[in-house]
Amino acid sequence: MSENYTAQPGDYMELIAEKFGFRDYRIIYDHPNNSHIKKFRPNPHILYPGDSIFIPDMDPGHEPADTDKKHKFVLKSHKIKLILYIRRNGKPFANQSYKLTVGLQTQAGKTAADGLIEKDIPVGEPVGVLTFTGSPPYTRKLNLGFLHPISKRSGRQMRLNNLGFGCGAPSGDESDAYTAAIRAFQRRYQLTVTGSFNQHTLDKLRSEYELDIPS
Amino acid sequence: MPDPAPVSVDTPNVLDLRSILVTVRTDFLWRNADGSFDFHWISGAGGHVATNPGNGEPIAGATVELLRLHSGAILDTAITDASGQAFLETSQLPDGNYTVQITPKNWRNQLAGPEIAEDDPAPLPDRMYHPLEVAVSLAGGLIDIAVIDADVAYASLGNRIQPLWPAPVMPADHLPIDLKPIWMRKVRPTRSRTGDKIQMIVVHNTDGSIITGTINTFTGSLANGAQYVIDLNGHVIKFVKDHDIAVHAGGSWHGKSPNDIGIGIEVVHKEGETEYSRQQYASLIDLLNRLVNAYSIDPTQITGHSDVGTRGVVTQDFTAPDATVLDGHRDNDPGQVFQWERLEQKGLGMIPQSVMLGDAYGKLFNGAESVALKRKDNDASHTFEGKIRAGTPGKPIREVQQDLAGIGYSVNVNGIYDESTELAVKAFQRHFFSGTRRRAADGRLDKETAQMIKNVKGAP
Repeated sequence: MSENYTAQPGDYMELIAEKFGFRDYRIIYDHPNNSHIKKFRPNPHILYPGDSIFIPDMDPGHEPADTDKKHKFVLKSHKIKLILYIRRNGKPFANQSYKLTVGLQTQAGKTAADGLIEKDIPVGEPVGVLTFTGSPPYTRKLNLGFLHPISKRSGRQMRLNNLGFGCGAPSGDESDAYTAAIRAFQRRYQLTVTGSFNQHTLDKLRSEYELDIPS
Repeated sequence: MPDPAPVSVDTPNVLDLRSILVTVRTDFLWRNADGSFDFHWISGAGGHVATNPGNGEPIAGATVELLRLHSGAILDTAITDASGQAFLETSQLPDGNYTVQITPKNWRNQLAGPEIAEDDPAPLPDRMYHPLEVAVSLAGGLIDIAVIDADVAYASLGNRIQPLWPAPVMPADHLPIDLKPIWMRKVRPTRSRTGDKIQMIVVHNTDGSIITGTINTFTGSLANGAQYVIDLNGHVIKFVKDHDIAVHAGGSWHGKSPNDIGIGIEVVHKEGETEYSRQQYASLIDLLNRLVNAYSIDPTQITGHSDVGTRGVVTQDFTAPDATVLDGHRDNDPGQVFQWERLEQKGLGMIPQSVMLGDAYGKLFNGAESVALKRKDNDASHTFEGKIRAGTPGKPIREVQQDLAGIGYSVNVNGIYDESTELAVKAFQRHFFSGTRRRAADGRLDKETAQMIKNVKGAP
């Protein structure tokens, strides 16, 4: 039976698809009943808690096969990526050894010259721990899939925090710290310093945070 | 630790980790009037002063904390490594004012004085420090401004790692701290005072324009030392327990060894004409007050090295009984430039009173303004200022000698103006004709000196 699902913190479309047994999240995301979601959440990986999402009936799916033989069905599991550009004090944190633990899996690696970390991670693990063992050492918890849309104030606060413009806990409320962080961001990128968001500032925040996906 | 970072999946994120590097060292480094720095680092002599000779000393194992200004909530904490470095994470912190708190492993919340080291179990640590608070203003997780309280002498901003630190500082990710110990352990063991109570305090100067040579000696294997050294900026370091004997002054005071009955305080000062600093006087007065109160010392029994070291004496040191230390008399220690009046105004030291000279000293100075006793004068032959003055009654030289000995000076009481008398008079003149009362210390007993001796001796 079809139903409406309310997005929870940490939800993204792949995770919702998996919760309801869909192999491809596009079956949900592209469904006409979800056209409003598609419009307001143009990035299917970034939802907002409380978003109401239509879950269509599942097509059971059929695979033709002989009845007197053994068959092996391989379920294609979804892979998602964690893509992080790591910087320290505004500069790429380049060629730094790190360990990334997601669930039971720990992967080791080195950041690229531009500070990039790109790793496959399993769908549905809410917490990652990123550890740098060099100088300076860092250990940082990551809440995977918890980033709010940029259209929400809390989403803008999260992006400003991650970019190094500290504005405290991303409560979604106005605060002096938030205003100061916007001003600092505008100063840094030579925008008109207003202390509040306008289209220019919003576009700049989006482009500075969501850097082009590397090929 | 900052809160977890919310990130998206399958979409690029930027995570800019903000942190500041705090470097904690002891460099004995001074900011000159023109803003430049002089490096007066420790040479490494004396056995254990510097792990990196010629390069100061990193402070390892210190806890470095970043605190919210008003609530005092700890935002991050780290421990300095072997090179005195620690990183504090400043990610996500709103711009504004914070406190960086540095607490070395061996810390005391008092300054050097009777409050530290006395009751600690042996072995005492090599170093003790006063914890330090630095007020920092952060912008984007970097340091905009860093300030230490103006009256803090035990620390300064800037060290050998990053000496040239402009102020106000541009956003920087490095907070260099020069933190000076309040206690430095002497390698050579000292022994506790046995029979004698602490009865006096001897003020010295180091005869060096910077502290480092003194530190090398006082932490080292030589016998020489003192309980305290006051640096140019007023910072006080304790080297020897008050209840232990330090070898700082030969000679005698009231017939006893100043080492046995006294506490030695060295003030960093090159013998000559430069002034002692305002901060040195303030720290000295504060330290003297605390010592006088802690050990019920008669506050008049605060002297200079020149007062007690009127005669060269040979002292034996207990750790090397065969070796002898010849401690000759000291002329300029602390010297006539030292303003004893500053202490007297605080009720410390021997304070001259107003006493009528009257018929004292055999009426020698009655109506004879210009008489001045000198070497080889003699009561028995009535030789005064080289002339027989049969009309002078009494024994003026013996009387002077008795007064000087009564004050505490080491002098022969024999009625002869001998070398010991001359040296004692000179030492007396250096002490009481210092500062604004300054005049020549010629070792001759003129009327002004005689009046001052009576003033110091006080009413009979």
